[in-house]
Amino acid sequence: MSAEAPTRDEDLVTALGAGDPRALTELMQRYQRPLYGYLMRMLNSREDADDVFQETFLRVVRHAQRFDANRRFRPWVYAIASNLVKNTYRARTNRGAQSLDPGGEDDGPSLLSTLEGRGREPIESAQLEESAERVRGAVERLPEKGRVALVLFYYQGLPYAEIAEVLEIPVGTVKSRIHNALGKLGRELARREATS
Amino acid sequence: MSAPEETPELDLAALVRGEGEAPSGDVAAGAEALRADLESWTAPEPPADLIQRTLAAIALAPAEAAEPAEAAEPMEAAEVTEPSEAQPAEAQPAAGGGALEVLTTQPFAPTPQTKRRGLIVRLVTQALAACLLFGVSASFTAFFYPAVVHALEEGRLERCQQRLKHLARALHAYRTDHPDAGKLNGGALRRALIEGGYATHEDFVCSGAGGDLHGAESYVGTSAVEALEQPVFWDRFGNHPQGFNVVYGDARVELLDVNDFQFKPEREGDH
Repeated sequence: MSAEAPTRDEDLVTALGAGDPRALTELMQRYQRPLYGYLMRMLNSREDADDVFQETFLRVVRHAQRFDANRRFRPWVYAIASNLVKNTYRARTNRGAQSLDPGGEDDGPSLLSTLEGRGREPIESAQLEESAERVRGAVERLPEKGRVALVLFYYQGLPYAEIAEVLEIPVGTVKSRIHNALGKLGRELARREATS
Repeated sequence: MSAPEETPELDLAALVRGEGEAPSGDVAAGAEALRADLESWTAPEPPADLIQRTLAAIALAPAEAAEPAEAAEPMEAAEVTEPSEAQPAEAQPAAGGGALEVLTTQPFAPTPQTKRRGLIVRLVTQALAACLLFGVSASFTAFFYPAVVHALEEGRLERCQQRLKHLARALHAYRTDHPDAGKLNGGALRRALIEGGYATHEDFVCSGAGGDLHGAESYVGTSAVEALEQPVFWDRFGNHPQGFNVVYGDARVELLDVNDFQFKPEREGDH
């Protein structure tokens, strides 16, 4: 890109809408890590995360010309991705697919935590995995609305206002959902501990 | 947007950092568990070829009718290739793990020398990988440039078709409200629809290149048609490289090749 290339995400989308495909590559480079992390966190499947990432940017390209430059790009792209995540859940339900972290007590460590555990010392890795597995399993069993708000806020670092834009709900509702999700998480972990 | 639910007056970020006062045991327990998980969790690395495969999927995706950006239904599946076996496993630099770590430290226990060498090898390899990735990205961008441009142009074409449909409906409403109005063409028709509140100035600006060229005169239109099967608005020359969008009295839109475009309406003052 030229020296005067736009640096704001919103400028890049405008440039993409005006026909500059290099802006697309730049946007993907900026968002591949956070968005892919979000998708992996929500979907727990590399294949699904890949698909949704590609579909998200396909939609960005298709709707770039309609993008309102006064809006922020990040909530927009997360909103698209979140809707696609919802569709993926629905498709999984329809085909009866099981999550990689179904939450059963005897299911063993998830693929995600197993992969993440590589490279650690065995004992440390096992302890961390056990604890992380317990929490991640509980997070994944949260109701979808609360889980999305929780993941966007704590794992993706989005501020309340942007989460409100992503989910199209008031900021107060975002806070409420996060608060309720924390409560449910605590109850779920306590219940699991009591039964184990 | 739905009505706001109850808003707890809590600093939720501070709560998970262990700095806030939790109002109940459950929330405190949830925050504590989440804090532990956040400290240990590292976002997985995206596959090295994710951008290239996304560019390919965009280039190969079929053109579709315009839809809302946040549409709930999934689009037609874009072509997605299986991840290559060569792509790195979950590299976890923060945890000191990942494919590279395995290659440089196993099967021997690391000594300070091998650790330092491993670090240098890792840095050099990562620098080379970054250069390679950048080069491959640039190559793919160049390779798919026409396809992406094509996808963008398809989007313009679809928006233009939506506008033409809207204009056809506006004309229908105008003719219903003014059954005795005379035949109107071009600018006179445009003014009548805008002044009557049936359409806006922007509705007459084509979303293609013609919009910049012709502004609100992007379309040719006529009310001098009797049958719904006849064209009422169509693109001026140069609006789209693919051809001409034509909307008929029944709001049906068609993309015509330049050679198909033979309809020539009466012009005001031709007689």
